[in-house]
Amino acid sequence: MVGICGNEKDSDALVTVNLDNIGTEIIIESKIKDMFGKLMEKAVREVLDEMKVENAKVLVQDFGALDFVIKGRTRTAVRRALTGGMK
Amino acid sequence: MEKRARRTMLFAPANNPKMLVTAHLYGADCVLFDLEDAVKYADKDAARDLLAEALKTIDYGDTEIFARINPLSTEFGKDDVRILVPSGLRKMRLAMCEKPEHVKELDELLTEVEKEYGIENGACKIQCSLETPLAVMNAVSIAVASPRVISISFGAEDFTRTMGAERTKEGKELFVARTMVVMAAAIAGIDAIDTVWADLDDEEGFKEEVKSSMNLGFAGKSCVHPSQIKIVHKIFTPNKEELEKSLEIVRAAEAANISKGGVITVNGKMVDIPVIAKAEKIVRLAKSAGMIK
Repeated sequence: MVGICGNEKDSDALVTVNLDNIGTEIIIESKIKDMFGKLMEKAVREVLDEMKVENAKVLVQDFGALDFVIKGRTRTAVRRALTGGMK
Repeated sequence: MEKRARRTMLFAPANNPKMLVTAHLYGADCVLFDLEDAVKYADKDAARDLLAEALKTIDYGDTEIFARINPLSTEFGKDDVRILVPSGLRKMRLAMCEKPEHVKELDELLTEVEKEYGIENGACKIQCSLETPLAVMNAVSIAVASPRVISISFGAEDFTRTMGAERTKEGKELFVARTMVVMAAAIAGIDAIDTVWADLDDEEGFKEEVKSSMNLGFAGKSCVHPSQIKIVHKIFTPNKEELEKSLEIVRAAEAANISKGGVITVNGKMVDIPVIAKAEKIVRLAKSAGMIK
């Protein structure tokens, strides 16, 4: 079950969530990963916790997104994965 | 309820991360994050979740934030409400509102969501978007359908499309509908917001239209570009003389305590409730323009 959300555009992020995973794995791809990678990971983790998702592999391809964007894109990607839709 | 100036309502697509951060910085009285026409079908869920996170995170200051939600008859409208209200949305424009039943349906849904999330009953407000001949003919019943309705807006593009009319710069084809919308708002004691002007290259035409909107009684105009904000504000800003007269009337009315009826004399002229209401409106506009505190 895979869900994708977002765009490869400035200030945005493309988030891919695969729920066929054991445990949680978060991969961040960003030019500023060294500075903000941990915060991006935290944003993803918060959404997964809120949505009670315990098993997911999440890939965040960041294009300068603020935390709220990463959260929004992750939330939609999870919803899409849960409903079986890959957009 | 607090009366606010709504001279400008800037449209911004809700699925654009940059606009969610910057739209309120252009100085519009209101920003309208759009989940309807500006968002393609496949992105409706993404736009809604993005706006929800923005509302939880961003401090929009004094700017009044609205979201244009999808009609409740679509598969998106109810989810727009169920997700955005708990995230902090309190004002929403109901697109394609044609009958009082549409308002009542949203009213009931809001009551249910407010109760579920412990939000004060009636805290969420509605702006009804009137965009068809049926909507305009029902303007009064829509405007008074719920105490949640704080304004009605006119949408000329869909109106002319459904009328089979040609939209012209002079706007004669819209005169009757515009007047009916303003009259309905006046009956309900709420604001009427005029339609957008899409031709960004024709600034003179835009100015003429804004003047005409103001003269008809509209409280403000929907804007599609930040460059339109200053123009609207300038036209909707009272001049000094008007402001001084209005301040005098408002102060005299307050001193005489005639808010519920009666007549006073200011500078030899009879002043009654409609004159006071007009003066209060001018003072409100002057406050929004920063002329007075």
